[in-house]
Amino acid sequence: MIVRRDKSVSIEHFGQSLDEVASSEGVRFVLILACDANDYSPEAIDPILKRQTVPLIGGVFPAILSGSDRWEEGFVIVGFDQAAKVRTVTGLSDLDADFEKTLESIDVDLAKAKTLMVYVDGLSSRINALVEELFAVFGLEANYIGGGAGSLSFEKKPCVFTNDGLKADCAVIAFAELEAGIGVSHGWRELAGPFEVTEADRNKVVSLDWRPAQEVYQETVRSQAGASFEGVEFFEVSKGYPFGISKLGSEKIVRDPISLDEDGSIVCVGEVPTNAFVHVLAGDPESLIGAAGEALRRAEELFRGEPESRGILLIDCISRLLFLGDRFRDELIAMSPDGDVPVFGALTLGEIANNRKDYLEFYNKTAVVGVLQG
Amino acid sequence: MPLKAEEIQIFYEISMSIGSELDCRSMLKEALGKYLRKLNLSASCLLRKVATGEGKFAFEPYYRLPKMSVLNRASQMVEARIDSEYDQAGIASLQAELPFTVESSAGEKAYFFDLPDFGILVLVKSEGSLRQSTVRSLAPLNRKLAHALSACLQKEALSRSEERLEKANEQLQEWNTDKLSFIQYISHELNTPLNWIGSLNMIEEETLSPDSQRCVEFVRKGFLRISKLAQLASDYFEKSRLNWPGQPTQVLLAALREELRSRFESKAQVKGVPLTFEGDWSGELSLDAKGLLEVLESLIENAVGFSDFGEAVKVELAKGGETIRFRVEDQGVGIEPNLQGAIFKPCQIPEHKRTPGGYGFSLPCARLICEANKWSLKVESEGLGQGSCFELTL
Repeated sequence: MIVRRDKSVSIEHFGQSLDEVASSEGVRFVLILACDANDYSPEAIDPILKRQTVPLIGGVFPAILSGSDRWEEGFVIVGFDQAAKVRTVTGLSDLDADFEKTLESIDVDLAKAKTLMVYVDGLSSRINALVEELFAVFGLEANYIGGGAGSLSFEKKPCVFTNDGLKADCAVIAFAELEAGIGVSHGWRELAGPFEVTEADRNKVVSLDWRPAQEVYQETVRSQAGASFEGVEFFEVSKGYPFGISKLGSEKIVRDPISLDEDGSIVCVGEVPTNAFVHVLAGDPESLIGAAGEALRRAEELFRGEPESRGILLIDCISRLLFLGDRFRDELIAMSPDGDVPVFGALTLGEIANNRKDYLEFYNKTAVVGVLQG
Repeated sequence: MPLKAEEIQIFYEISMSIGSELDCRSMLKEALGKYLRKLNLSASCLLRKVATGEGKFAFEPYYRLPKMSVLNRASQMVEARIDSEYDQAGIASLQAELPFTVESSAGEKAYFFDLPDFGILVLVKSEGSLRQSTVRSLAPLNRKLAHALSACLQKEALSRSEERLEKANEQLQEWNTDKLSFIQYISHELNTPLNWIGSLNMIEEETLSPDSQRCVEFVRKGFLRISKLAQLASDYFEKSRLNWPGQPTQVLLAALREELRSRFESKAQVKGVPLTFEGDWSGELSLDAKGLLEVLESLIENAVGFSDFGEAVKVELAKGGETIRFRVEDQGVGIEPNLQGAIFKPCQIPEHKRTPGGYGFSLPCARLICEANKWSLKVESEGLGQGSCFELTL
């Protein structure tokens, strides 16, 4: 595994580093994690991506992680020695797109693919549908790790790296012959509920317990946590009180309420199904940081490769940074193992992960640690 | 141990996902996806009980999630536990065991559940296990799933029947078109020998003996009637083959009334049949004018033709909302109830009901025009000698 890190926003530096990593002996595929602030345009970056002969995967994120540092400018490029087939799924917001058919048409030897890396445009509207079809078509025989790329400004723009260039509204999937152990945890706890989702439209919650969702939610947060939405941006308060969807014998699936729609419904990152029961959750820095450490512990426990040659891929939700503020560094430290192990990752808009045991999910506000074979 | 509140909520959510669609595959995808997600399972396989003959049964995979058997642990664990064939006693014994659990060497647990009247549902949990109370409480959900599956299968069977019916209908239409083309062809080909007979017209009668002149006269009359029949038949079959409305043109209702009056007034007078036009004939219409005129002419022609001296014929126009209704009423011979359908079909009127020179094509032609224009044409008559009333609604 070759890891090249650079805090520069320069496209020349990026091109030079990518050329070097991709042409290094033994490198079979390349993961690219870059910062939104680099402001790469497809016109400038596409020729660099297109000239590579090894498969590429990755995305542009609000911030990236290098060791226990968070960078808001720069890039990390990782070259893997293991082979991978990389495929792109386009039209991730297209209501008519048949992802099942698209995924079934991918010609790949699933017996060899031990890990599926999946990066999606985090602002696409049908990520859940893709994740469900990934499960339906490829099952749980491989690990999954990845997340949503994009900008914290929520402006839709090209953010997914492919060999065809920097693309928007798509997913890129690497079927990698890469041994991995994956750990997932979030640390959010029940504050109030349950509330029945009596009406929802994919990622919009319209009503809870037959009342306008916004009314129930704000009332609950005010009465149970003493937090008021008066005169502040919705997300300033809601970032600390996500929804949790119940799942038997497992941590709740978190849904991040990010804004209010014109009709008063609550817009979340990820789908909230009608008839689900949700709790309003709350967390504190200790519970979140503790969960991040738990994600590392689980990943290490499940890793079956050689420990001395491993690398750590962190997929951590950007909203955990917004919630933890200065304590976020403690979370990164908790997610990083002791010793000289390369650690890299990204702050994402939603996380995709699975350890071959649980139902495959698109998570929010969750810490994911991938221990990868170096 | 009673169910926890959270479990009840989860079961409610699963229950709501069952039967949400009537397409089998979509319904199963939704419902089994919900089972797996909410119970945190890794695979499912639905087996359908099928008769293999001689009183034996097998369980065949009907639906899997994940779809591919090599990636589906439930499928793999089914192979280790379910036999390839069962007799009645074997089935009864297997069903009595349900629900049961099978554990793999890797520690995965496969839960086998009864789906009444359908088969078996297998759910796999890779880590941990389901509580006994959870397993027992899944029975009502599974019954609901089995019922939903039956409904989906019935709907599919119904759809297949509809498809077969539609195909048969298309075939019938095709045969009907073939039949009409054949009759039209024969009718057309009859014209050639008729024309030879018609050439008798060119014989200079003065050169013939009186007997020969009488023979030629008989032949000429026969020729005229056969020609008329051939023409009527040809028109009818042409209309039934084309079957579309004519081009819409403007019709002034007052002008239409005058045209009908001038066409039939003298004929009615000769027979001593009072012919009156009533109602509001003001305004105009845009429709198949030629078709409308042909239908009304047929109705009035018949009304006058089947009435005797002193029996009145009334043609009335009534407007109501968006409908326009023409009624042609007579006090003539009337129509027996058993013939009221037949008069609209060609060649089905008994000979004793025909007028001299009439062949029973005018009302069938009128029906074809009405069908093509989506107009309604009905008849009412209380029977022989009771007159009749034809109603055309636009």
